[in-house]
Amino acid sequence: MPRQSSEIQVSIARSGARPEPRTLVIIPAYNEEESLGRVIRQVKEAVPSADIVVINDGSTDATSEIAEGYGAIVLDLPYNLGIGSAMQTGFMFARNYGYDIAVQVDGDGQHDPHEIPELLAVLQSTDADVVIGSRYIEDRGYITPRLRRLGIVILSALISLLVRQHITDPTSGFRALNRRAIDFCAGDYPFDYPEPESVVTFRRAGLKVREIPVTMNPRYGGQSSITPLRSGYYMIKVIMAIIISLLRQRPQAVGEVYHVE
Amino acid sequence: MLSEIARVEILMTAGPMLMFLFVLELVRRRQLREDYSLLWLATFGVLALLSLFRDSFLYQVANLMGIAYPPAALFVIGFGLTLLVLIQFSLVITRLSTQNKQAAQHIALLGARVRELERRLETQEQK
Repeated sequence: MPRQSSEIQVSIARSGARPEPRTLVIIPAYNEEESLGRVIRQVKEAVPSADIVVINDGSTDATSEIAEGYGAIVLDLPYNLGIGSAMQTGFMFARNYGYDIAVQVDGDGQHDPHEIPELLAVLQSTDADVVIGSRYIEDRGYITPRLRRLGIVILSALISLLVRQHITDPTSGFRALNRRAIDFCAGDYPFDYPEPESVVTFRRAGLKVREIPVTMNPRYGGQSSITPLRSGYYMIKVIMAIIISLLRQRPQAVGEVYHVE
Repeated sequence: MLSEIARVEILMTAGPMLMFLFVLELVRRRQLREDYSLLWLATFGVLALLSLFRDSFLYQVANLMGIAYPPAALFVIGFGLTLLVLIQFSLVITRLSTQNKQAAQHIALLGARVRELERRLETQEQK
């Protein structure tokens, strides 16, 4: 559970110094017992001051117990809701307990937690509200199957066109968000395959997105949820969701943002 | 034995009427909510009326729709109303799954809060 630091923050604010931003690392996990422990350990090494919350999305394995055992806060969803709704639960938690920054790291070990400080540095030193770790800015040897690469190229072309900014890896779930973005996501987040669509809604809500290069690993263990049939459904669903989201009333992101002076 | 025409006329009139009464009975027994019964009642009501007053009503409606064979208009209208019922189902399912998602999210958030409170209570009691 988060530290109750609001009183501490007030006293520091009075004395003139800015408090450390309170950071929450959100790890969505569905049956990730093989990789989750290692991910939590690495997150603790990389950002010792951050709180870690694991969103157990109705796993049938020991995901919840492992997260608890490694000292993470655990939110157990009673049944599987999908990655988007699981992440939204994490954003709600971050909003409810007043975190300044939320970081999304996948529970399957694809993302390298040691790169979290780079995401945080860019988030705090630039005007970005959301910083996304991209596999494709620099070639760091990440091999994407050809068909999936094609899908990502199509999506990133479509999204780049819509947000008028070059987005190389819209499907990346390795992200850091400031408070404005957290509040926005806690209120409205797509229920499945949320990442590409959220890049478009961020832009429409006036949130600034920035990508930085990261290295991604093949998953440590567990089962990828991607099959050919699902990939087809994924593309259709995501493109339709993006186009329909453009027809909606423009969303609004409000609130103050923590920044390093 | 009745003629073919008489048989189909009885079927097309009595069928929707019986279904109309069946839906009313379900509502009376509280097995079907009023708001979800309205479209069904409209569907069977319209079909029953069209069949009952075919000379004045059905033939004119078919004529208006440009359908040469009036009984075919019954199928078109019945099918259209059924589609409306199905869209209503999709709306209701979407609303239910959104509420269901929100309930699950609150359960997860509350569960973590309860565990934290229990943990604090334990440490307090130990002091």
